[in-house]
Amino acid sequence: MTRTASHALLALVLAAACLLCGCASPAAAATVTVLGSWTGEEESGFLAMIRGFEEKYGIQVDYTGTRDASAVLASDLENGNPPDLAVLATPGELRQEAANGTLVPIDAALSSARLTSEYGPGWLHLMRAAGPSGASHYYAIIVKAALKSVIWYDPRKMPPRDLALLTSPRLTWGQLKELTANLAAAGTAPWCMGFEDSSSSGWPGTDWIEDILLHQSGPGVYDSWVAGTLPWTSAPVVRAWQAFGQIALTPGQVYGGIRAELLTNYGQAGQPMFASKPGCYLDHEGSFITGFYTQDRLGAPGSGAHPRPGTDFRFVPFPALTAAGQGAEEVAGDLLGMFHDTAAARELIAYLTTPQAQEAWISRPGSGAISVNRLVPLSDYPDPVSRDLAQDLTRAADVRFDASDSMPQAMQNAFYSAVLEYLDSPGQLSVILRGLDQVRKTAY
Amino acid sequence: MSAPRTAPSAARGGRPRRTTPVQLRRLLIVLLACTVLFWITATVLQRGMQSVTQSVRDTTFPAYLDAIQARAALSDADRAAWQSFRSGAAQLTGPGQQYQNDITNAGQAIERLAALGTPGSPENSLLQTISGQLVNYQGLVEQADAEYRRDIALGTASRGDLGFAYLTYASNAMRDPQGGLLASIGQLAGPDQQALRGQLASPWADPALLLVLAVPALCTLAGIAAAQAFLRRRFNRAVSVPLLLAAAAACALSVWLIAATLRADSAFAAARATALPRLTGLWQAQIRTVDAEAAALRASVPPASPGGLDAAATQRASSAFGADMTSAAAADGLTAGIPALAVAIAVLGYLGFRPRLNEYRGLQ
Repeated sequence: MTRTASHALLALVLAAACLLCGCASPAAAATVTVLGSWTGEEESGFLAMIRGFEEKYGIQVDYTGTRDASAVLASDLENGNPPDLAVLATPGELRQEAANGTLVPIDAALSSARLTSEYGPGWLHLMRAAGPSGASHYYAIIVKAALKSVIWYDPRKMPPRDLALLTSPRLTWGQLKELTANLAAAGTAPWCMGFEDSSSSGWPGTDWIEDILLHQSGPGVYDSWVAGTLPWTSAPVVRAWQAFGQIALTPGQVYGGIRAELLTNYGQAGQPMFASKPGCYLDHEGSFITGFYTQDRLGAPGSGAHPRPGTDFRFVPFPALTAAGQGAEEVAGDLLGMFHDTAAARELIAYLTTPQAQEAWISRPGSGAISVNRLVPLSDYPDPVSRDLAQDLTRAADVRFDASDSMPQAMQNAFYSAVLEYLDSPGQLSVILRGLDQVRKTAY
Repeated sequence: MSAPRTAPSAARGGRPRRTTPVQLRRLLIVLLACTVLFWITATVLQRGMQSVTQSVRDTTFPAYLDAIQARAALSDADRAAWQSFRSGAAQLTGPGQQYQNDITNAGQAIERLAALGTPGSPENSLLQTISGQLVNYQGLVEQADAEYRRDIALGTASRGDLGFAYLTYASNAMRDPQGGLLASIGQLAGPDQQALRGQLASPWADPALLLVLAVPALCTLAGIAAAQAFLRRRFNRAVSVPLLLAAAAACALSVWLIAATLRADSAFAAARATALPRLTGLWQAQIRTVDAEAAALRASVPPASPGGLDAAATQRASSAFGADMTSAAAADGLTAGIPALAVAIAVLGYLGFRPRLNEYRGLQ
């Protein structure tokens, strides 16, 4: 065989070997896995937020949204395979995971100077926790916040006399009770309520009790209760439960009665407010509910236009029951923590704290999202209701984080269940509160 | 072997004495090159076909089957739990034996899916979510069971709504179209079904691809024919047995590949047109029925029939699909057959030339 021919044959065989082996494979792009509780419109908002990140950094974000994110995360942690980043249901969960060492500190991903200039000290405090060694670090960021001490109404459906009373500048608890009594006497239940939320069912009831306690006994008592030093069987807590029971358990006060309260999802609870003949007039929900309202329909379900903020729904602050509760506001926030320390995850964490990222979510009509970044201007909010909410949130004098969210997870879950138990067996309140005290002794 | 018709040119002097061995070598190289090309082409085609068949049989189809089985089993678990609570059997048996069986089946299907997936892939990440959701669903059913028994114990002190409420929460957690357990499993089954359809329509099982094989096969046969003609012309060799056998091996390899491709194409077409739609239709019909029964039980309307899944029917449909894939995989013998026959063609071709080349080597 000639040398040239031999070379040609060798080249052919090598090319064939390479072809048959199929040894070349493209390099995979960096990916960040994120687990969150945002679904539907909230999920769309978050995806809009991270689209800019993916385009800018070329990092793919693999987001899984489920309303049972907390239970799923617990299962993932149990299996030793959590996502890179996950939404933590509560600051209590954040503290627990940080102390366990399952959460990774994110100080390296954040610029402390920038955070201090862009976020209020209260919010920064929520992002910190003690690690396994006891040293305090940033362990999470607040992706969006919510104002909880608000009552929603449809200004076009509310009878004019009641509307004037509701929107009076210094609405008192007594006036609110008088107003709801009038509405009930006229044949329509004043309140819309729904406590269903999958494995977290009951939390809308805890929001009621927390708001009543905060506005009845004041922030000091509220703080002791959250810290686990004030017993559930103490007078202020019992009074708050009873005040809640006077509304939730009294026939004619709530649309559909107790059975509907137990079975209606919190997101759909306000829907009868927008019916041609309203089923109820008032809805006590956090500011995030606007994301649900804008998906509802005016008039009959399934037909008609979507309710518009300002025109079809507005809010008033939750009134103080006593002077001690004057000016206090309850807030909540979605925390995002890191379980795997990767460069891509750190980049995403840093990006989500920027005003640009926050604006992408809050500027979406009907998103219900509020940013706590000071650099996000009020003009970025798409409607007057969102602007008012953001203004109230940033200007509130005495802010308290959602009590159940701040309690240890075992206490929080027991609180959720206790609300459902109370609705089912109102006569058992003292037994239920004693049970909560039993949990308190071991949960803190 | 008989002697050449004429003396080797080298023995007689002049240009032909140098040309004939060179021509012999060139012919041999061409024949070997054609054989290598034939080998490569046949291997690429066979590997492509085998890869698709194996992927369908060992990964995509089992993954799809497990996903849809888990989906159906969970729907039925919800139905069974409602039936147990509505009938009052829950007082003694909780959500019931059928519920336990369905949960076990779904859990096993999810475990198999995890074993099929790649660690760290988005699918496995979704499977983790599904596992967590399943645990959450079971927790809510257990809570419903506990409340149901407690409501009975409390009697008039309780409104008796809480057991029902917890079962509703469980059902909602499963059926929430936005991120519920069934929606999550749907996210797995949908892409699996699409991947399966795509693989069953794979070009690797398309007979048109045989045209690619025809080129090196005909080249090899043409090389053998040219060598035979040359030997007859120069050496008075009527028939070279090794070359004849090489031609037979080339034909056998071509026929084997054609038959395997046609069989795979036919099996894929049958699976695509009949077995898969039938299997999918059967599962979907059963899921629809079970979902309707669960909804009726939830609304307190007893279903017309006892309900549940027909495992035997889906097993039969699944076996039909499996038979098609077994038929498509019948070409697995080609993995060893292609190199064996290609080497045989090359060796026989060389043997056809060797006596003549040896003659010249001896003369030189």
